[in-house]
Amino acid sequence: MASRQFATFEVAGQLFGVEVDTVQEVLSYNEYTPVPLAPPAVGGLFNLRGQVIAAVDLRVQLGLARQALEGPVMNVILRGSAEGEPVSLLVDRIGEVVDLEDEAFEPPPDTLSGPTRELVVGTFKLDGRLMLALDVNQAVDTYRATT
Amino acid sequence: MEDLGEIVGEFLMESHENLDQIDRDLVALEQEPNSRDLISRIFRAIHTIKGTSGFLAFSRLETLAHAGESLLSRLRDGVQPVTPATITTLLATIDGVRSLLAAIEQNGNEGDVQVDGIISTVHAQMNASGNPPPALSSKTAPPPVPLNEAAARPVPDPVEGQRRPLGEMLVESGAAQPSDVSSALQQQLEGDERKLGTILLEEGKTVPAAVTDALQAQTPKRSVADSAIRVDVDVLDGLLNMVGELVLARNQLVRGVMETGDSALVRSAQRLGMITSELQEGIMKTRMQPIEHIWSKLPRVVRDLSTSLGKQVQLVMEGKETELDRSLLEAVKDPLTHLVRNAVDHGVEDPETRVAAGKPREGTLTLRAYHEGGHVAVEVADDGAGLNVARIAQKAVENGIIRADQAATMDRRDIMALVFQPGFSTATKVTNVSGRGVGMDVVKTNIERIGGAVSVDSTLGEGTVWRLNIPLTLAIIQALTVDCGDQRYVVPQVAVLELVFIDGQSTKIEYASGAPVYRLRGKLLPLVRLDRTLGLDVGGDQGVYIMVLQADGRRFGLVVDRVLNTEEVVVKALNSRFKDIGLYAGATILGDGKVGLILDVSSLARRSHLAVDSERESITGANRAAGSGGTGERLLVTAVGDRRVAIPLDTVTRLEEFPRERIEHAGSREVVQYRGQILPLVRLSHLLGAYTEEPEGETVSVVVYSEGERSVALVVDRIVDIAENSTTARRDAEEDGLVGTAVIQQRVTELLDVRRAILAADPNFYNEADDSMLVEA
Repeated sequence: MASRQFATFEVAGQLFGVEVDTVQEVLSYNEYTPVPLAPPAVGGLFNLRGQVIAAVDLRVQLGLARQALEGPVMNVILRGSAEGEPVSLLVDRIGEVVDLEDEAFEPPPDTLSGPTRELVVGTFKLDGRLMLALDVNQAVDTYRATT
Repeated sequence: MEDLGEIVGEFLMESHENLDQIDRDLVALEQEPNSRDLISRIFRAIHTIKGTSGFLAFSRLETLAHAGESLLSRLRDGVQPVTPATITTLLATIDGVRSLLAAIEQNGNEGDVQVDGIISTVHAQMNASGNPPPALSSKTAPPPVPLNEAAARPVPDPVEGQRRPLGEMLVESGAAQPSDVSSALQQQLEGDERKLGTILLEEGKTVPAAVTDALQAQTPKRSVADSAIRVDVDVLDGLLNMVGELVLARNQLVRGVMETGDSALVRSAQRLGMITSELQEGIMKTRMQPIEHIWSKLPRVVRDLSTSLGKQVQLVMEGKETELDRSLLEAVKDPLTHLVRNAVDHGVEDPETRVAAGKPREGTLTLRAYHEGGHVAVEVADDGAGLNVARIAQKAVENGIIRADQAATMDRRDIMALVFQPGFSTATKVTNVSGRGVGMDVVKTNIERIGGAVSVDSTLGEGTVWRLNIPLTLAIIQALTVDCGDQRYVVPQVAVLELVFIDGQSTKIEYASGAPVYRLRGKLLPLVRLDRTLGLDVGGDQGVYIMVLQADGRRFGLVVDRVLNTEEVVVKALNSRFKDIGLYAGATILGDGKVGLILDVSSLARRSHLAVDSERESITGANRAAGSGGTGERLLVTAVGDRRVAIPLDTVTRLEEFPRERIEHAGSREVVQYRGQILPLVRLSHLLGAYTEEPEGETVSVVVYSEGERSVALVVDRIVDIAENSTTARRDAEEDGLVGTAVIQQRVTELLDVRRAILAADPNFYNEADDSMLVEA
């Protein structure tokens, strides 16, 4: 039975995961350039070795208040998807990379609603806690309605 | 087919290049129908295509190329003369080959491209002039010229051993004396291990450039095929990106090393820095291509178009070796083609009209490219009818672009610039070439998108010059960094006309029913607050800067907190998710490693509701100013103490600021060294008896007045403005040093007696002979 590797991270106490091969790298960065008039989910821009990367604030995407961009913030930098440019997700804390059997997977619970529901493709039952698997494309789509 | 993929790819690339060359050669052949060289070259190129297509089993392509080849061989053998009709047929053949190649490129096979029609035209062409009388053929065919290919492409000196001695070459070129060379040789014999060039250089017997030249001449020249390779543009782009990263890493390293203070490390870091810069420059250079690349298609465009319009147009190209960044070339291609088509269609008249106007039947279209400052200028010039300013104005009024009363007062250049407005066309009839009301505005938009500018100048009856100003490279632009809120933004310098500091007293922001404006030399400049536009907290009106910007023909002032400096920035594309905001043209990495947003000046203007109406206001405002400019002279208004003193602007040479400590004394006079001269100063406050407190500050403002070799400087407290002298209220002078007083900008202003002031600074100013003060410093 197939198993998949997930990179995990925490936002507001909840564990999330994305498939490892969508992740380019993980790093903490502390200087972000705000982009006035950009959608609220855009945390800012930063310089990744000469490349300008947009950081998407996952808290805003989940319907929470903005991440205060003071001091270092962890970035999960995702490989360019459709647009071909890498995008970063701002998260609270980085977790481990976990191997998960497909059996541990269940669709999101019916009781899950709100913005989180749209970002999540399913739930993985880990020892002692649940990990929500993110739909990467939805997660970085800053034009989603976030109300 | 799989295995052939690469071969086919190469064949396609090679063929495309060949076809472009054939196009050019065919058009050239029409001009010189007897050129055996051209025919042979075209023949060989087609033959190659035929051969390869046969090998790759593209049968229709082979048949078509074969037909073309047969016709060419008749031309080559002089069986048939070269006529415009043959050229047209051959060009059609080439087009057929092109569409076949395009089909192959897309589908891997010849698809359903039909070429039978072309082939039968070719055959008809051959049969039509079927068996020309032998006399004619011998007449049209030039006497057999020996094929001088060998002469055209000299075989490089093959034997390396034949290198000529360096000394001999230096002596021959006059860069070294025979005696010096022999003494250097003697030194070598005596065991000096340095090279001959080195010895001569170190003893100062010759110049480095001469040695380099001689060394280069020594190295056997590589043939063209060996010295050039094809590189995928993606590879170059990748290299450019990596070099960009290297530059950033270098900057960080250099900063870190400076802090350590280790001098050896600092030296290495500096060396690394230099190498990096050179590497960057080198990579940028690989992306440069001569503009010829995009010009090469134009002879064909001009020929086809002029033939179909029944016109005669000669295309002249100047400066085709001028180089531009590859991405820019791509961006310029379409606008340029459009301008050329437009020039042939609307610019050049038909032969009858030309002859009637006393011009040669054949019109001339000149393409000119040259470097100018940090830009490349590309001109499309025709000697045609020129732009009819009156008709443009009329059309602009009809199309609602301007009002009739505006048209009456507009400058002719401003009127000509109206052709770049969307929806503008003066073509009396719509042709399939141009005149559909699209075009010139697209040209303008495309050129402005790459940071360039387009302008037009024309003389009725003599011709029109369209001028594109293109930055050398897209990747690096000159920019001003500004602060707004607590963030830094970047403004492309090409849009910046001037900067004004608002101190809230002598310069201030005013409000016209809530809309911020600034009086720039008496003209109202609409203002855009960057902080408000960006949705940030709105700051105060004092201690801020106005950047006077121009974009899309609109002029406006952008209010920012601080202007920092100008620098060259590397433009990075911005993530597509920010394109919809429309305010940012891109991003860049600033000196401190942070990302800075580059503002898009034209959309800033649009977004800030600088509607067309306000633009019209400013145009009419300009015209009012220009209109009144006819009567009143322009005055430089200065502040002297609490008085306002005006100086006629046309007597002013320059405005300068001198550091206070540079003022020296010569006798009882104050002087300052200025451009190798001793410049006498006169303080207007003393001259006018306005003994006020010395204004604070490190520098003094002076107005320099020059005549011939002589200059004097009038010291004022401050330059206030430039104004029109409306001469509404004026009184004659009661005071020495003044010619009168007038009300300028609602304030009483004194008019300076310039001659009197100059004489106070330099009593001998108007005396030719005596020259006690102005000796060369």
